[in-house]
Amino acid sequence: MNQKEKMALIEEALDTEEGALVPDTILSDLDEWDSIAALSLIAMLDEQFDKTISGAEIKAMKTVEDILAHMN
Amino acid sequence: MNFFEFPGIDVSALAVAVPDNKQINMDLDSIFPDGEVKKFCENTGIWERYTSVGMGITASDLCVAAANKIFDSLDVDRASIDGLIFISQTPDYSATPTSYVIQHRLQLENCGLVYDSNIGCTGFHFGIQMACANIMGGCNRVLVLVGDAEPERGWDRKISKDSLLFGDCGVAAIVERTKKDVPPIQMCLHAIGRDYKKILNPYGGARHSLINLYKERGTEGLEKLFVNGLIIEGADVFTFSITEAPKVAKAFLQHFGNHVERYDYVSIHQANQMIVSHVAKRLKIPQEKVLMSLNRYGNTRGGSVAVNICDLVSQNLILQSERQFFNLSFGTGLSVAALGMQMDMDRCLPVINVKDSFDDGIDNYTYF
Repeated sequence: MNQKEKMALIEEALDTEEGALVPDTILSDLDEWDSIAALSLIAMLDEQFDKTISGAEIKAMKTVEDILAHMN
Repeated sequence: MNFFEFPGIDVSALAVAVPDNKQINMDLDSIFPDGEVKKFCENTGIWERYTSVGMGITASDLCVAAANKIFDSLDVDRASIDGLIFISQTPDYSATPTSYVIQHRLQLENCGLVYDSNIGCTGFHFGIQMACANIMGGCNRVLVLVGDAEPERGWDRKISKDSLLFGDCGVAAIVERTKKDVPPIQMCLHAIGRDYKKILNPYGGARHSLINLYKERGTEGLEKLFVNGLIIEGADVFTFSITEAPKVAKAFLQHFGNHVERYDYVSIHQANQMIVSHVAKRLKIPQEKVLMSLNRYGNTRGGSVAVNICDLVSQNLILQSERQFFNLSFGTGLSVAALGMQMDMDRCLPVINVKDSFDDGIDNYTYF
């Protein structure tokens, strides 16, 4: 999966506009970054990458890059 | 993880009662910031639920109504009940066990095995397990009651967003020894005690008492407790649900050599829509087998798998003959439980609504 496809999955999970995110985007600056977005992200990482993410790991994510780091 | 198999035992009747008070979540929109409730409803799938707020109805009232419906509609002799188990995290009293009051209310005079148990969202599974084990030990017909209700939750419109998830319900099931040719009841139970803080009601018990909370923080502490009493670590609970529940379901199917195809319906604990859908997807369960009632009843905790089944009857989707159910629950503990059982749909009753609460003759000035 290339970077563009990964970004599309993150945008879908966070329910943001297409192309709204770049790797440097700070999650806490996004209106969409809330508890429901966190759950969508957990579901996406589980479904697409078979990765189990804890609440602490979610809280530690500061930027979109930190999400991308789990997508391999 | 433990596996259980109980041959010659039948879940012979099932009924569910909810308070006669439908709460539409969008009607609470003004309490929260703009658009939050709509977003909550869209993501959780929970738009309506039944609540006992303002009615004084408790879990025991709902369970008694469901049990009476079985006795009255299905011609079950009260004198034949020799075991009564009441599973709830919202009992009427901390002492005496609420089950004893229920025994009196239901006039189960021949019933000596009477006890309460504090189990959360896996309550229905544990109730069936306890009943089966008691039948193996000598009982003939056990009444299992599972329910939770919080008549004060959301009172005066003081409510946390988490509370918009929960609906009240009471379930009654008869479990009995049978000579009929029924498939064995099969079960798997799994406990993860190290994660006990993930879903926790920390205050109000003996370790962190109401008195101490009041002494240190006064009424401000009690008010906070009232609105936010149940702590849910949402992200961790979500991860737990979508990973551990499928794991236990797969272990169950493998242990008993079953395949999901064998079951007519899969009843997954109605935690929220995202969790139910994700668990179903991971287990590759065809959509048409997955029961959903949370949009109308909310998360009814320990009773939700039974609410699904009785809701199916309410909707007249099926009316007669035996069906095979695979029930999967998970929640506080943390606990996961899988259960394979047959139900005669003629003996599953449509969901009933309850208006009345029990008057025990006690008020806030009765004793001191």
